[in-house]
Amino acid sequence: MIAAIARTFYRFVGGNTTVPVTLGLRNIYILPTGYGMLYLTVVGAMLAGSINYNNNLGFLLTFLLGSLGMTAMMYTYSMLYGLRLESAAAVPVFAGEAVDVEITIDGIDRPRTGIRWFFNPAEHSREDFRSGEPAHVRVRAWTVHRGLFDPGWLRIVSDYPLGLFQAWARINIDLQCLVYPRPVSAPEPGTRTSSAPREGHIAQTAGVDDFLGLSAYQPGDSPGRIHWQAYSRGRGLHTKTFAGQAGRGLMLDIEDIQGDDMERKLSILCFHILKAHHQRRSFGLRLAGQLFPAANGRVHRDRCLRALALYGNG
Amino acid sequence: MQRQPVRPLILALVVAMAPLVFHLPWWAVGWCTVSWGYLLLRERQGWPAASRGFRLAVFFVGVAAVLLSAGLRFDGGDFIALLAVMAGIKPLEIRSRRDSMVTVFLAYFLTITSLFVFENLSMTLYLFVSVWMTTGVLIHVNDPRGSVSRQLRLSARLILMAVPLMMLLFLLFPRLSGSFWGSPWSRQSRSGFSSSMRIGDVSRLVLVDEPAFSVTFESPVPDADQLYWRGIVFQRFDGAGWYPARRQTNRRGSVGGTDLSRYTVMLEPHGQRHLFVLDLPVTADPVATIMDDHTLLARRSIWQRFQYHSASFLDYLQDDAEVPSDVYLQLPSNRNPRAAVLGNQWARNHAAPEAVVSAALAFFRDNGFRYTLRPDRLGLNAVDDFLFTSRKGFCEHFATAFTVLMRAAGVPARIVGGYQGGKWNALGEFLTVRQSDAHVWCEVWMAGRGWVRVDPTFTVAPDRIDAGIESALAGDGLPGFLGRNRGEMLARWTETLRQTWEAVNIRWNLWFMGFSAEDQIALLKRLGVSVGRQGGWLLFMILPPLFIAGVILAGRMRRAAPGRRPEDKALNVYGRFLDKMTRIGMPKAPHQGPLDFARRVVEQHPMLERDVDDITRRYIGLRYGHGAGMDALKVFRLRVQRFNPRRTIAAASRKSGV
Repeated sequence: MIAAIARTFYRFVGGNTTVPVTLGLRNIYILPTGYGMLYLTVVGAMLAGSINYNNNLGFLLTFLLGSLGMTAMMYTYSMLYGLRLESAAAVPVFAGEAVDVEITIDGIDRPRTGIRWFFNPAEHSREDFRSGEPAHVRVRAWTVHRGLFDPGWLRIVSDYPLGLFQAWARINIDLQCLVYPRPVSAPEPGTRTSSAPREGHIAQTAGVDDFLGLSAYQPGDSPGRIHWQAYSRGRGLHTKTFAGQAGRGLMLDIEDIQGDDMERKLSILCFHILKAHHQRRSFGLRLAGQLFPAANGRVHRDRCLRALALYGNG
Repeated sequence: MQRQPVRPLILALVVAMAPLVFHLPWWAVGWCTVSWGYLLLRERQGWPAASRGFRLAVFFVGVAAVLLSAGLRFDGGDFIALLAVMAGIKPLEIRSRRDSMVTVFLAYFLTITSLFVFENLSMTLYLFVSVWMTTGVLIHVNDPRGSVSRQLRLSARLILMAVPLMMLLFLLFPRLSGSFWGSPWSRQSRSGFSSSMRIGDVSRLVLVDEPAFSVTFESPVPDADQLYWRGIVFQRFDGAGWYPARRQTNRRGSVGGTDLSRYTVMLEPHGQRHLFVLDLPVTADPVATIMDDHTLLARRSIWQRFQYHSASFLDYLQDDAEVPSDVYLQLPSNRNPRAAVLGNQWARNHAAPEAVVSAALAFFRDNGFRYTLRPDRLGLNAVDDFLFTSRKGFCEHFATAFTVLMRAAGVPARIVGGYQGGKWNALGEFLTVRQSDAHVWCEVWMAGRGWVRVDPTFTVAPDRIDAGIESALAGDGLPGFLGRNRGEMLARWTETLRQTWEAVNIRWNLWFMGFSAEDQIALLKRLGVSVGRQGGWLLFMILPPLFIAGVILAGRMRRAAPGRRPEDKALNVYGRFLDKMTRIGMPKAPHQGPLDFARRVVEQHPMLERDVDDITRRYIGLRYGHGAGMDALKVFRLRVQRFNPRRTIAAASRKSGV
C-alpha cells in the first residue's frame, strides 16, 4: 500500500534522477522520522503546558525548540542540496560477489556529514566530505546471477544533524555492471591445441616460466609481466615474454563440457579461463556462435569472461 | 548494536536539571547522583548492564517514593520529582539509539520544568545554555564518531539560526488568555501576607529578603510617607490574631481627590488573591475587584508573576460617611482588662475621636516604647503585657494595641496589612518592595471623614517610615540583619550590583514575562495588522513557510554573492598583505603584478625575501592554480596573519648592525 503510494508519488513528481544529476528541489524529498514525530509531540506538550500556565519562558523554550526543529530540517536538506553526482563506474565481479559502484561527486562547497549511500538499506556506506575537492563514494551491492546487473535505485539519505528529519534522493545511476559467472572447479575438459600458432611448437618443450626476452609493452599486457627494473632505469616499458605462452594453446569449448546445466558449464569455463590466465597460458574460447582464438593477456581474458557473462542473452 | 554515548547523555541531563537541585526533594537529588555515578563508573570499568528485572524494580521504587512524598496533592513540584526520578534511571537502560533519543527529549522536558519554577532573567539565559548542550548531545547521538566540540559549535549555529523565527513566533503566536486545566503549577508555600495575621507573623516575614513586588510609576513618584501599599484589611480579633471580614462586598461608594498616582505593579506570586495598591485605589484592571474596605481581590490566587495597572488618590476623600457596623468595636471578652480600662478612661475624658487618637499616640510616645524585631514573650493578655510591661514590639504590636485601645474607647478601628515604602532603583526607575518592607497600620473611623489612616509605629519609630526599616532597626544589633551589614564598602558595592541586576531583571520581566495576549494584539495593531483570533492563527500558519523561503533565498544570495569562492577570498587575504606592506612604505603600484611587486620588495628589504616569496607563491597558487582547497586558503590566511614586516626588518637590522 505504502509502496504503491510511493511509486505513484515518484512517477508524479518527476525531476531528473539519472546520473549526471545535481540534487536539488526537484529530487530531494524530506519527511520527519519517528523521532521527529516524537520531538513534535514533546514540543506540543510543552506548548500545551505553556498555554495552560501562561508562562512566557515556557513559550520561549517551546518556540526555540520548534524553530530548532525547522532549522534542523533545513540543515538536513542542505546536506544533500547542491550535491552533484558526476558519474558511476563499477569493475565487473563474479556472480555472488559484491559489486562496489564508485560514484564521483562534485559540488562539495561545504562540509557534508552523515550522508548514507545505498542500494539496499542493509548495506550502506557512510561518508563525510570535507569541502573542496571532488570525492568518490563506493556503494556496495550484492550480485546473484551472471549477466548485466542493475543495482537499482541509488538512495542518498541523510538525517544529520538531529535525526528528526530524513532527507533522501532516489537516483538512477544508469549503470549496468557486468557480472561474470561464478567460477566452479572442475577437471579440464577435453583439450585440443589450437591450430593457429603452429610455429610455437618449437618452444613447446620449454617450461612456462622460461624467460625468452623483452618485447615492447603493448596495452593489455599483464602488469605482472612488465619489466619494472627496466622501467625504473628509464628505459621505457617492456614486457617479459616467456616460452610457452605463445606456443601451447588451450581451447575451451562449451560443447566439451558434459551436462545440461548451462550456468554450470559457463561457471566451469570461467574457472578454466581464470586458471589459464593465472598460469599465463594462452587459451581460446568457443561458445555457440562465438569464437575467441587463443591468445593471452588481460584484455583477452576480460573479453572472454564478458562473452560468458552475456552468453545467451545477447 | 552501536555503543551509545552514555557520558554525554548524562551531561545533558545534569545541565538540564542543575537549576532544580535546591527545588527537588533531597532524596531525588541523591537518587540521580547515585545512579549517574554508578553509570559513569560502569562505563569506566566495563561492568555489565543491569538486568531488566532490577531496572523495573528500581523504577517502581522511584515512582512509589514520588507518590508517597506527594501525597494526595500532586502538583508541579511532584511532577518535577517524578521527572527527576525518571531522568535518574533512564540512562541505566540506554542500549539503542532509540533510548538515547528518548533521554535527550527527557532533558528538553526537564529544561521546561525548571522554567516553570524560576521565571527570571538568569533562567532565560540558562535556557539557551541548556538547549545548546542538549542539542549538542543530540547531534552526538546521531553522529557518535564526530568530535564533540565541533558538534557543540554546530548546535550553537543551529540555535542562532533558529532565534529569529523563535522571536517571531513569540511575538505573533496567537495567545490565549485562559488556561486548559487551571490548576496552578505549584502550591508551595510562599512568603507574604496570608489571610490571617497572628502577632509575630510580620516580624518573621520581615526577615525574608525577597522582593514582594516592583512598581513603575506613570505619574511622579510619591513621597516615602505616602507609600502605604494596602493589601488586606483585618477586622476580627481573637486575642492572638487578626482575621478579615467573613463576608466582603464590592465597594459601592467612590473615592475622590486631586493627587492621582498611576502605576504598574509586577507582583511576585504569593498564592493569595489580594493585590497591593496605594491608599486608596480608584481604578483597577479588569483582573480584580475593589472591595468595600478598599482592598483589591484578584479572581484567582496568584501563583505566577502577575502584572496589573492601578491608580490611587494619595490625598483621598471618601464620599460617604456611613457609620460602620459594630464588628469594628468588638473585642474578645475577658482579655486585656487593663487596656479596656485605659480605653474607657479615654472615652470618658475626650469627646471627639480625634482627641482619643491623640491621647493614644501620646501614650505610645511618652512611655518609652521601643520598636524592635525582638519583642519579649507575651502572655495570654498579649496587649496588656505589651502596653504595660514589656513595651517592646514591632509594628504588629503597636497596631494591635492601638486598635484594641480605640475599640475599647468606642472608636471603630481596624488593621490594614501590606507594605510600607520600598527601595527606589534609580537605574531602572522603579520601586522594589521587599518582604522586609511588610508593615501593618491602623484605620479609625471618624464621622464626616470616613476611615482615616493612623500609623502608631510612626510615633515610636519615625525613621521606619521616612528612611526605611533598616535605619529604624539599626540599633537592634541583629547580626547581619537582612545580610547587608557586612562592611560598609562591600555592602555598598553589593548593593549597587544588586540594584543593577534587579533593574535588568525588572525591565526584562516587564516587557518579556508580562507579554500577554493583549500586548500581542496591541503590537499587531501598531504594525498595522488588525487581526482577530483567526487572523492570528493564519499568521502563525504562514510563518514557517516564510522561514523556509527566507532560508532558501539567503542560501541563493550567498551563493550568488562574490567573495565566496576560495579564489576571491584569497584576493581579500592578499589585500591584507598589501596593507601591511603599505604601512612600511611599500605600496603596490597598480601596474605591478604580484611577482613584480615581490621582486621589488625583496630588492628593498632582502630580509623579507622568505616571507614575501612564500606569500606570493601561495597567493598565485590559490588564485590562478586549480583545485584550490579550503585548507590551502586557511594556511594562506594564517601565513599573512603571522607576517609582520616591521618586526622582521627590526630583528634583521639588530642582528646585522649591532
